Amino acid sequence: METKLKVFRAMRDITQEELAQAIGVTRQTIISIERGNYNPSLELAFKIARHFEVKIEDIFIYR
Amino acid sequence: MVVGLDASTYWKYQMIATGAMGLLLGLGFQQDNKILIVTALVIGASSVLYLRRQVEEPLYDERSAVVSMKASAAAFSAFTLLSLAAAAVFFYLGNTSNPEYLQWSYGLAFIVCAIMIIRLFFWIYYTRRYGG
Repeated sequence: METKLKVFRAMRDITQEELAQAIGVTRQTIISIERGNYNPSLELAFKIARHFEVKIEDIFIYR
Repeated sequence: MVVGLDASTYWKYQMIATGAMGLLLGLGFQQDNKILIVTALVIGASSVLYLRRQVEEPLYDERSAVVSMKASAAAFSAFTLLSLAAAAVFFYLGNTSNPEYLQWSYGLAFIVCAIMIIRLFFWIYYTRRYGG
C-alpha cells in the first residue's frame, strides 16, 4: 500500500509528533506508516483521513 | 518529582527503575532478606506506576500491539520447536546412554503438549469471539 501521509503532513505544516498526538498514537507509528513499513488499521486510517478532512483513498492508495 | 514525561524518557527511567529493582531483588534472594525483597518490590512497582502516570503521550498503540502479537507468535513457535528438538535428543540419549535423560525428554514433551492445548483453548475462544 502506498501512502501520501508525508505529503499531506507537509501541506498542513504539522510535525509527526503533532499528528501522533492528535490521533492518539506514538510518533514511531507515524514514522512507520510514512515509510511504508506498517499498514494502519481501518480505524486508524479513518482517523488520519478525518484529521486531514479528506477521503481515505486520498491518503492511502492500494496497489 | 517528575512531571510531563515524553515516551522515550519514560522508557529510559523505566529501564533504570526495573534494573535497580531486579538488582535489589537478586540481592534480597541471595541474602535471604525478606524485608529487602518486599521493599524492592513495593518501591520498584510504585515508581514504575508513578512514572507511567506522568507520561503525556501514548506509550502503546495498535502498532505496538501488532509487534507484540508477532513477537509472541514467533516466541511460541521457537519455544515449541526447540523444546521438541531437545526432547528428541534427550529421548535418544535416554535410550542409548543415561536413562535419566528420558525424564527430561518426557518433561519437555509434556510442557509442549500443555502449551499446545492452552493455545488451542485460546484459539477456539478468539475464533468464537470474532465470529469465525
